[in-house]
Amino acid sequence: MTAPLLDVEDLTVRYRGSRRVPVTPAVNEVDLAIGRGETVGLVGESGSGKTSLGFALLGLAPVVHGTVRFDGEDVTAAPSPVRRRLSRRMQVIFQDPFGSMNPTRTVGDTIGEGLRYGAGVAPGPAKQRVAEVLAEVGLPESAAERYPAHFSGGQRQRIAIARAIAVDPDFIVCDEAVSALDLSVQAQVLNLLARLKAARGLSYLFISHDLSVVRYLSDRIVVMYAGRVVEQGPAEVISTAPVHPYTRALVAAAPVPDPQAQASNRAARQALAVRQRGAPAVGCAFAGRCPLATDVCRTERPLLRTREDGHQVACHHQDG
Amino acid sequence: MISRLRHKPLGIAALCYLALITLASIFAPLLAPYGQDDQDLTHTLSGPSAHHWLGTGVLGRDILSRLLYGGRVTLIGVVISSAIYIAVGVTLGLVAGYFGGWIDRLVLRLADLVYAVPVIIVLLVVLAIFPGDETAAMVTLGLLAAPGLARVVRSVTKGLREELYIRAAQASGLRSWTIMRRHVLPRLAGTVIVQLSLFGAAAVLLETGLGFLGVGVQRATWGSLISEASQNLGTQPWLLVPSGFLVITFVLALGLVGDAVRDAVAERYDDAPARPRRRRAAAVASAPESAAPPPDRDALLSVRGLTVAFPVDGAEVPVVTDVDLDVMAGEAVGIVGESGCGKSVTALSILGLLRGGGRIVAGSVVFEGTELVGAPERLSQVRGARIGWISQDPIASLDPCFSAGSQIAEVVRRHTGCSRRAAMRRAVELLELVRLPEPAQVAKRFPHQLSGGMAQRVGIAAAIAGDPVMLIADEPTTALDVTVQAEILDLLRELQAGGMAIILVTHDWGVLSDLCERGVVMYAGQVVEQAGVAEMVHAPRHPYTAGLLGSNPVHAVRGRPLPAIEGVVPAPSDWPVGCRFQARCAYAQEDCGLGPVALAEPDGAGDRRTRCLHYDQLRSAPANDTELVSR
Repeated sequence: MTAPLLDVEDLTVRYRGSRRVPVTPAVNEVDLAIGRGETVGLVGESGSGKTSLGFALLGLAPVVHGTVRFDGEDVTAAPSPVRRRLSRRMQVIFQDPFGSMNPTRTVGDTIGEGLRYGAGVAPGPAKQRVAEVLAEVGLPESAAERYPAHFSGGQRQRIAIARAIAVDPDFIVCDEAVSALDLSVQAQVLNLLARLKAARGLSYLFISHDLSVVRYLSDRIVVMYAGRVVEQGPAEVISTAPVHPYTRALVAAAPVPDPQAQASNRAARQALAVRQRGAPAVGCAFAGRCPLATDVCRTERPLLRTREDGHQVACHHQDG
Repeated sequence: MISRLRHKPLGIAALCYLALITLASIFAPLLAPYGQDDQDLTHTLSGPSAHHWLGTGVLGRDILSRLLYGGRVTLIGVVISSAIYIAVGVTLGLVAGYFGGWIDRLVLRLADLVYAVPVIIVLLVVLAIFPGDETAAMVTLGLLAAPGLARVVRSVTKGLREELYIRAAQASGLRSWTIMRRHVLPRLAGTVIVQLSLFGAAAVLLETGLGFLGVGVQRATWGSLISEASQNLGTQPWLLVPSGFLVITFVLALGLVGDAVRDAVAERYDDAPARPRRRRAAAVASAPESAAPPPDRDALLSVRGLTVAFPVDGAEVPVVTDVDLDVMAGEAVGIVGESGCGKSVTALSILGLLRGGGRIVAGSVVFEGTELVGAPERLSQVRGARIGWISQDPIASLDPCFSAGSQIAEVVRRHTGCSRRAAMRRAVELLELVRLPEPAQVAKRFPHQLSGGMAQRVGIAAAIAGDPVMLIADEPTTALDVTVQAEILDLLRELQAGGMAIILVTHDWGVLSDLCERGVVMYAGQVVEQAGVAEMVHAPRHPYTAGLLGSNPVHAVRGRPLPAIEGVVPAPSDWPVGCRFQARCAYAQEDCGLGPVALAEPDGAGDRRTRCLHYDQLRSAPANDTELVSR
């Protein structure tokens, strides 16, 4: 295998807290590699650091430690001229289809912005390109003249995708890109993302709290808990035979559209349930919620251990 | 933007007035009947006359002429000070708010410093140094006022800086100044316009004040005219009328123009395009659909023919039509559908909680044998006491000023009238009932100290405080993490096991399958299918249900496209004649568009209903691949 497109090593992100209360890192010593044309899914609950990790790749979150390499180049603390150049290759699609677009700018203006001001394309060709990407995401050319308020959530997410692919990037961070959409629209957008990936050889970091969405789109899944990676591996393995107790809890908690299957899921989940305690200061962050936790979990932090086929788990009790 | 302004007659009138005065002042030498210092000693301090339309002042100087000439001085002063005000204030505020850090602190300290300086005294000093120099005074005024604008601009910018689209622009590789120019400045326009109109008014008044104090220029200005009038108030009160009227109306017009321009700027991008197809929607409303059967006497809640309309551009547009729904005691019924299908509106209308002018225009809601529609007193007895409500956003639905315990205690007292202390005890009991660890501690906490899951438990405790027999839960777990969602669903199931009926509004088939026995699928304001949840998810009898189930990624096979339903839910004003799903339906035929489709019983499926003419075609279609689902 050639060098990965994106290579994150030992990354720690910490936001500034107040003087008296030091903050625990949002992302803590995370390693992550994404190959060319690969889609990596990143799951975890709110506060697990998955969005911060995505932001750190884009230079939008404060990295205090570690490196981010994109195509072999260290871009961890890239100065803005380098970022501007990078932005032609790395793009982002945000969750909120309403907040991620300036309401005072037309859709064409929003999509063309990265081309005009980031990549320095002349107005004429930029306009041409906007029309092309609008067609590619399934919107009429006339959409360029209208304002974001005139579009539904699903259409806006298509616009956000059009903005991301306008500069013809290699890599897109999708931060909960379909979470705000209704089921039927979500399916349309997922199909669009899958089609674009196949057509352009794109790599995605697909961040979502919804395991079923991540499973559908990803080659590999990374599970984060309290800022750390607790399990990663091939998508099918993680979603059908997870090992880490947190991943198992996550899979068991995701409701399935079948009352009978859901009832057996529920029984399995309730057997796993424990009374919640606070996380220990040292050791495994999940120990307070873990049904398997023993003394060693509260004193020693488990490290990621490779099982097979790139399946890694950070748990003291992964073998029994 | 000009075309937007056209719809604001008051703003237009004010703008015309300002333009008239400005033009009149500019062309004062052409328009004025006399020179500004021409004296007519035969008519001193006179009222209006044929020679002097607005009368004369001391030395018989013509008031009209002096007002026209005076406007030049006053208005130039206002323009100069406004330009300085905007240039300095917006720049400082923008830079401080956008970059933050030491720049921000420097600007704030500067603003504090300038705030402490008494404006009028500084102006008097400036005029003492540059006697009669209006420009110097007005530049000073602009400079002194600018930090005030900078503070306002700074705080708006700070807020805007957190907007996702600013991050998106950063991720697109835009330079900071490009982001400020393209994304921050346009959003500041409204704020700045309002501040400017306020400042313009203040500048006119201050200029007048300086003239009044006699330290302004020695030529005619609006201020010196008012000063002259006030000195001769005893002999000729009329003198104050023209100048006073002019200053007051000018200031007023500035304010009106400011408001109108601000609104017009905002409307340019806020307005959704007008939908001109209301006529057809009205036809839908009047079309007689299936005659509603009588309410079910055995049911706890029996809704028949429920039609809810909201006012849109002055006309009432129905958003929910002809909904029938029965809930038995202790039964859990789920209403499923996408946003805009009317499921929340249906749930809200049962409790009479519709907002935005929505109202029930037809149908009946019978709860425990009594009609709730058109019976506000009965409704207020039922709300909370017999039917509890659980909202989608647990934290926002709690009042941030009161502790969790006191909010629940308030509900307890409302329903039982017990003492404060007893109510608080009951609140802690309820918190324990919803499985919150350390309920006494949680009771003392404020909403912002609760996690989403805890807040939703508190919300449920408040909902059951009145000891209701039914709960209506509107997407109660949508905002929560899956593990927390599972716990909240467990709690609701426990409550149901204790005899509570539940109406669950959800878009998630998994959540429906977890909690509900019966499902009601809504599409475009109608019930399209009704069945037991198990039968529904395995063998849907409406193409929309089948499509929605199919587009669930849980069923998806990786690498194969998801079977998505193309298109979007039509807006109420765009509902077609006949089946409302026909435009997106793979089974649609000509007869689907002929007339309203009734909710009917499919062959041999006793307890089910479908609003589809061709449901039998679904039966031959492959059923959902449930093997993938059950692990």
